[in-house]
Amino acid sequence: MLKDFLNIFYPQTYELSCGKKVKEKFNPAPYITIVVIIFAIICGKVTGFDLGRLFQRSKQFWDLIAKMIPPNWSFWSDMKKPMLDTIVMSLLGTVFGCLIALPMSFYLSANFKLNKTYLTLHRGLLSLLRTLPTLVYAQLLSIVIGTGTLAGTISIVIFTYTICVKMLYEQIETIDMGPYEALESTGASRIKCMIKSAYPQIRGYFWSTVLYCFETNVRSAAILGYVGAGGIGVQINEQLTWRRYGNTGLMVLVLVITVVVIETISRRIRKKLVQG
Amino acid sequence: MIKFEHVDKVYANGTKALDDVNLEINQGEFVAIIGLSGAGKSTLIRTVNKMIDITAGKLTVNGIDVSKLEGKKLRNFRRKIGMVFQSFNLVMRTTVINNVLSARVADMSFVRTLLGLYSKQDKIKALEALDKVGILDKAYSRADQLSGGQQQRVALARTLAQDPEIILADEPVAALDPVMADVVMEDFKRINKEMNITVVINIHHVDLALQYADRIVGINAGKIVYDGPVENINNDILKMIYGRELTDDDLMKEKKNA
Amino acid sequence: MSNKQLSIDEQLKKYPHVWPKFVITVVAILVIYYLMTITVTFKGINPKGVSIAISAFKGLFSPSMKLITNLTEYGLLYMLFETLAIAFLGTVLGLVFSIPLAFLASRNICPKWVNSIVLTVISIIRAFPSFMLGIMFVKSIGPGAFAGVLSMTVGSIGMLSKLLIEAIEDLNPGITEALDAAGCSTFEKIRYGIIPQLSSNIISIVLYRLDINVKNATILGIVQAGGIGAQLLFAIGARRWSDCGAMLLGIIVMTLLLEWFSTSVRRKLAGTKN
Repeated sequence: MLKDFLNIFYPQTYELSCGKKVKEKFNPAPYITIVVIIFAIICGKVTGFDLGRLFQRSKQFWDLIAKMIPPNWSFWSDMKKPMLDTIVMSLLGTVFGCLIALPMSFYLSANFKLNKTYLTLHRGLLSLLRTLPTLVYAQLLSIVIGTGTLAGTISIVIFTYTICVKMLYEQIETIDMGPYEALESTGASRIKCMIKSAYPQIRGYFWSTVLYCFETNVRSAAILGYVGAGGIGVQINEQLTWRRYGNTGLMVLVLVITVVVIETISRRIRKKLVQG
Repeated sequence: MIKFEHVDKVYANGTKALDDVNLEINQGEFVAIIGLSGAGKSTLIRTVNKMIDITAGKLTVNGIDVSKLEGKKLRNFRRKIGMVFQSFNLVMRTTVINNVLSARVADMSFVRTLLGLYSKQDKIKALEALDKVGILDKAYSRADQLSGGQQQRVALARTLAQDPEIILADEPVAALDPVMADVVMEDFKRINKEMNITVVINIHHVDLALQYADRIVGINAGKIVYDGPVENINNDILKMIYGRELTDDDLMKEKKNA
Repeated sequence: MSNKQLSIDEQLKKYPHVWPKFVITVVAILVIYYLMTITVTFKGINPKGVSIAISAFKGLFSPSMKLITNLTEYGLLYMLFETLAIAFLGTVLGLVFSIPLAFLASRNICPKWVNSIVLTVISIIRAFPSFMLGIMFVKSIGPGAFAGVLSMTVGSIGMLSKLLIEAIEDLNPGITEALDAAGCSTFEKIRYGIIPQLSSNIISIVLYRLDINVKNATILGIVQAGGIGAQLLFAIGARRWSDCGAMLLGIIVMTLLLEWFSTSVRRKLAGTKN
């Protein structure tokens, strides 16, 4: 039994009845599994993972949810404005971020033969910026330009831009350059060629990317209020500190419904865009 | 008039695609360039509007030295030369009329291009071009709903919409079946005769070349090995151009019978 | 007038009008402008803003070496490792929950009524913003990285199971049919017929989510759920720019390394599949 178990760690050689010897292909799966398990145990130690505590306290988790039900409907009038702010911030951030990303993605795609070193540097800078979450931008901006929705909106613009431009230039690199060549042969300038031959090929993808960014941004914008960058986050923070769970419940409910509604609509439109 | 004088083209990887080419093509001629694939046909055609630059010699079109053209001057020069490609090079996701109209953007302002605001004259010109190739009724279909032959005729209409003096065609019927190939070649012939537009066409299929062209230019390994009227072509000359006996692949009609 | 000319005129009339597009564009611009005026409040630039920006910029480019070389629990490396640990453990545990959910939700494995129940559960979990989960776990379990792991686990289930369902529904049905014919039980079918086909898919899905989770883990700190976020935002708030620079540098390097690792492994897996 133990021997069978150990056998999985190295390739076996079998002798077939015809006398031929067949060696198994090396299978890294057991090693990967062991490494993952060991690393997971280390991570458990670092993060203070404790199943006992989870079971002990899980009652409190459900209690917390129970306290949020029923939501305090009368809080709606107080949360209406910040909720709207959150959605509008994401919308504006998405629109402006994507509008800047569209021309830039043509500029940064490899099909249009720009200087290679410049391209690498610019793209490298973008991937640096992409690693930072929106919240960090929001915190930095709320110090520099003051707290409020402007800081939040600009940070969403930055985040959307870095994501959208990458998705677009990767897509542009897959398009058929034939129409571009045809238009170039009519004597149209490069930028006109892009507008008339490359853009129509990514139009559907572009709008689908816009919707995707909007979905993501609505999810992430809710937290921006924590650093004073506007939206519903401020309220969630306050109401939780004051232990007004009914109010929190309403906010969570509205947030979840908003996300689900936006996602459902956007999925449906995106499916059509990609087919058309 | 297109005039090649001792033109060479050497690619960056060292391949010599054109080797001391001397050629004169007069306005209104219908010239077929034949030869094996890789013989330099495509390169020859693309040097005419500087889609590919030559490396030595002199190439003039209506007295303009092509290799000296840059930027805006080159773009203005290209407006008078139409180009048709083997793979049609249409934007498949948009309508036929939009494809044809795209040939007009070279003359339009940037804002009009961006917003897609075509003038009435441009629209009429595009529709007339579609009418000339016999697919006016397909103007508002999406390009990808058309057959291969119809798509190539859209590409031809796009070229006509730019009012060219010269049409360069790079293997325009290679992707079509024999019946459609005939229809498209008829279109080229008619346009050449009725509008006095010079047509220079790369074509692999000898039978089509002999049927439609007035003049044949044979090219082998970058050198022009034959240049003369269609009537003088015989089996020996073809053998010289192709460097071997003709096979069924070199004839489009054979495919139909096979 | 010939028939032909008439036809061109007719076709010209069919050319789509420009004004609907024009109206839509104008309305969209007006709506966006209106939304900007009601939401985006600009109270004038903070007079100290420019000087703050300059000192912040300087700080970001002269990261605090003290923080970087500090190897204790208060040093950069430990904070980064804790962040990575939260993301890693959250992803692995998320996978552990997602696999059975995904099998239950796949049309080719389980009956339809089971699919729809499980799919509803998954989409409810998905809709919770991850910081909300963080808050709820912090409130019930207590602040710290453990709460972060739990919220990451729950937060990963949505996407992981959705991608797994797609992979499972794309499976080659021939293999399971063959095992069916050989009289295998459902468990044996999954173990010998499905897992081998799925393993490279699972690895690339997990790596993809791990990428996202590391990014998410850097902001968990704001709700006291562990990781580098709390220290980072605190440093920004207190304008300790060189500490802040060190931490941002750390996040950038860690994220890029992981991204590089995960894309190269995923590319390799995609290559061997063909």
